Amino acid sequence: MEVLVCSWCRLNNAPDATQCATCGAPLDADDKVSDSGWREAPRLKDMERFSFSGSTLQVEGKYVPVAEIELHPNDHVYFEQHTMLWKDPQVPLAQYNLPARRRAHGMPYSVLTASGAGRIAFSRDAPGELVVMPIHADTELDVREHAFLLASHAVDYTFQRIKGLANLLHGGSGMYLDRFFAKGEPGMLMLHGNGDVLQRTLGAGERLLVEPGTFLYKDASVTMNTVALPGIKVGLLGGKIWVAEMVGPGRVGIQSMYHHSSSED
Amino acid sequence: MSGEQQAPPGWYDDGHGERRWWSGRDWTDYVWDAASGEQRIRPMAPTTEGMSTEGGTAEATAVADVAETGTAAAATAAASGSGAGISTAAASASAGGYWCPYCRQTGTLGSRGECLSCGAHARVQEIVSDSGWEELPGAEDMAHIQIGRSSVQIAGDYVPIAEFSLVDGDAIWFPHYKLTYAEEQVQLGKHADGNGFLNRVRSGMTMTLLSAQGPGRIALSDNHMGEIVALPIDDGHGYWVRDHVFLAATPAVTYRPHKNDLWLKFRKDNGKETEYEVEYPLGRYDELFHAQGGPGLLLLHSPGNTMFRDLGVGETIRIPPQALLYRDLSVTPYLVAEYPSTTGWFAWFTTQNYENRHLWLSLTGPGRVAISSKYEKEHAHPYPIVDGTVQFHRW
Repeated sequence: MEVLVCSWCRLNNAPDATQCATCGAPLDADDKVSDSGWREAPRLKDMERFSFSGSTLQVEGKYVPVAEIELHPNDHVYFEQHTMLWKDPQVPLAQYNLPARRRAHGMPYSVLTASGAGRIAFSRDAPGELVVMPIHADTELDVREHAFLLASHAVDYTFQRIKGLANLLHGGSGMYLDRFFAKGEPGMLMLHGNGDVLQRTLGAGERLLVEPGTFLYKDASVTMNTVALPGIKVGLLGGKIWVAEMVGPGRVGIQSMYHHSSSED
Repeated sequence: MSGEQQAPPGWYDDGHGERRWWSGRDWTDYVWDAASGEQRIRPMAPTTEGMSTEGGTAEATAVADVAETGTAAAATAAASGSGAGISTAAASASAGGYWCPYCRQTGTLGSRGECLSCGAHARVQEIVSDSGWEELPGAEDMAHIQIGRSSVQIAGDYVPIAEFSLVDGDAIWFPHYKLTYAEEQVQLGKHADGNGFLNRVRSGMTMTLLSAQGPGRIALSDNHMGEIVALPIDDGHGYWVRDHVFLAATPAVTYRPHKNDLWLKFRKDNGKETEYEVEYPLGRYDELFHAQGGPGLLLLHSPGNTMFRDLGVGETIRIPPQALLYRDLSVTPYLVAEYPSTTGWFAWFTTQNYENRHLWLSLTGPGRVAISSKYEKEHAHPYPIVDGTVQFHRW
């Protein structure tokens, strides 16, 4: 049987489909891949819909997009509290059961769960794009803190404490990385990337230097270490320029708009 | 014509039947159309000759009348030359090529229909407002810009990334905080631009400039929504550029801070004592970029949308000082303080309210000016202006 494979999430679609049923990526548009292999995340069209579990997600807006979900009675999603834009009054909210150690370490935000049936919408207050990351059984995705917009109930959450003094002080990713993985059935994770989002797949042992502020997500198989550029000293006190060294194999996602830790420009 | 005295700026016969504006140094693209009584933009063929006091000497070839046609097809068919802003090398090598109205270079188009000199899509239709501002589209998503054997590709729509593919021996320089990623084999080092520590601090240029040398790929971006604007610069030419929008340049492009003489002096009187404060609305130092020893490429990140217009000789517009993105060096800037009219018994009080004053940057042609729609808006100073390089306009 002929199928159309989505080049973003690798799942099958009907041969006449114009949009991936799993991640919403347009199937009738060319992939945008730069010469070096960076691929732009598929831009979800304004007012486009796609389904996960029994629920439907619709994207609204172009510059600061909104994710509006019609939750099925048996579905729920979780999210950072301050990303909630509006909801139907009947949609119940509950505290998400975060790992105890994370609470003990003072997680700076509250994670809530919204259950169906009803409508609820989310957005972050920064120009950028929504990126759908289907989470399969064998996927473990590490995400920069405060980049995740929402996740379906099939996606489980834990965290990785960033180790190493250089990583903590100069990595620009805070103290933790959020780690998302599937509990059994596939789930859906939606991220908000500031500016444009690009992804590149590194081969085993392949290295890449990334400005720490641009890092958005990576496969758990990718190692990230903060290193100083050799031989370059800046400022009166001879400071260093720090970058994140990513070592494959796996995917690395970056965002083009970020706050540079050592510049206000 | 080296060694001869150069003629002062003015309209002269360019030797090919055109009355063309001579900047005092170069022939410009501006010709006088006697039939319509208006100025026209008409690039001329490359020449190494200047304008002596004895008369015109340039070997010019009149080409496309962009003002009349305004279409890529017409420009492509007719364009072949250069005045003040057209690359002589590119023009002579590509007669019959595409003349890009955005970067004013003649060259070839890329596979996506983009100008390989600036990455903007070939213009098939003018996007010009009724007042004459034209949208400068910037380098489009996935467009290529050729830099000799190296190239840069633009990725993204909102906060685009400039991804350089450098061949062995080619290099770029850039502020360190614009770095997005670099491949391992790219050699990163400090860029020596000849400016001392104090010069950089005073000019507001970042303290740390890095150089990247090929082979390998390196990408740069800013952290604002906007567009990447590529400005090819011919040898010996330059641009004035707003602070902090500089993204990258090739080694032929040099940067020199230049003292800005646009200033205002305010009197701050609190009833007990009087203080005077001097301000520079465009900064104490101008950022001037020149190409020396060959043509170069300057990349800017323009916040928001970008618009430009080509001012004719003596034509003047007013813009907020902070909105100016770049301008030709032939454009003359000046400050204007404009006061709204007041009437009635309350007039005296309102004339003392200096916060309703509007400060403009007045720009007089000939030359190109570009503005960006996102800029830092400043409230009017609540103190009277007592001195400065400023004209007063009271209604």
